Amino acid sequence: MSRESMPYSEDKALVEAVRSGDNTAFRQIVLKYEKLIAGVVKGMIGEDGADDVGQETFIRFYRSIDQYKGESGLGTYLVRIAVNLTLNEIKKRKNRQWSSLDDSTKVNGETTDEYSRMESAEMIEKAMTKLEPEFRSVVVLRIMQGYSTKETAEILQIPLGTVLSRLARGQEKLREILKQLGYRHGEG
Amino acid sequence: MEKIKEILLKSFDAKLTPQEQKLLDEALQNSAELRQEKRELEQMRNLLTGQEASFESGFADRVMDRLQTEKVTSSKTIEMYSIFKRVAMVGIAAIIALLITIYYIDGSLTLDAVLGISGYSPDGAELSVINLQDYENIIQP
Repeated sequence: MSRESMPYSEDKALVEAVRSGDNTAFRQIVLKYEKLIAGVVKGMIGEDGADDVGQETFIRFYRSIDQYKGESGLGTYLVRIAVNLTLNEIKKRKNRQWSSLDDSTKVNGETTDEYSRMESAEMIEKAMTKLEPEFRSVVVLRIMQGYSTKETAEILQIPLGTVLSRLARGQEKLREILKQLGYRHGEG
Repeated sequence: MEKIKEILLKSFDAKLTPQEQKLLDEALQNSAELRQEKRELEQMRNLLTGQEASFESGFADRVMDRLQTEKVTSSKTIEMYSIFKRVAMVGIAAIIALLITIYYIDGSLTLDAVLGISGYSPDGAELSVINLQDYENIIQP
């Protein structure tokens, strides 16, 4: 997985450099973690608006760089910012999302075949946006990004038991949504 | 069946107790439906794991551009600014308190009152000079 591959001390040095005003170091941080953040943000909200949320993640980090004490890895810290920003974005979009959920009822009708031709990536994106945000975040972090359940709990600042129950329910729901979207298990 | 499904889902993300593992193994052996469900879940997880995501090229440039155009300042600069602001506010508050006190004592806010010399007058000053001369006459007959 694309997580925190560089040594931890290297991140610390980069952060220190940014603190002393070195914007090149900040650029290095962006380059290093943009894929990780893209995975999290796009996993949760899809393509639409993901770039803006991604940019905002790094800008927020820059603004509050002195609050980063290095207790967690830099990637984990950035993911935490990204998840919070993405959850805010989901809240903002709630109305739009509901109307898109209404569209999904069509999948039981004549449009099912159309959905069954979807590329799996598109289908996953569509299915994920239909999953409630609290389930979405655990599925993205644990399954898509490969964080352990303990790390997922730390990032989301929720108990481990909650992560496990949300994972279980989230997977069940996601499987149902994928079925509705026409995904045929065994073919995908 | 619900309990077994719960254990099945749990098995992907947590270590099962020996008892749970035994229950699951037995149920999987006896139920084709549960085996199918397990396969579907595995496929779904593989589908999710295989997702590669990246932003459009030039993402780092866009972030750096935003940094420039929005003149984003780091928290250290913001902190310095807020300390300066606090000191300035305390200073202003002290000056206002001083002016109120002067007004309360002198009943006015003239320059003399502010400088603390409103009680003195030039006449008084002359008088003190005359008194000094008298004193000199006394000691030099």
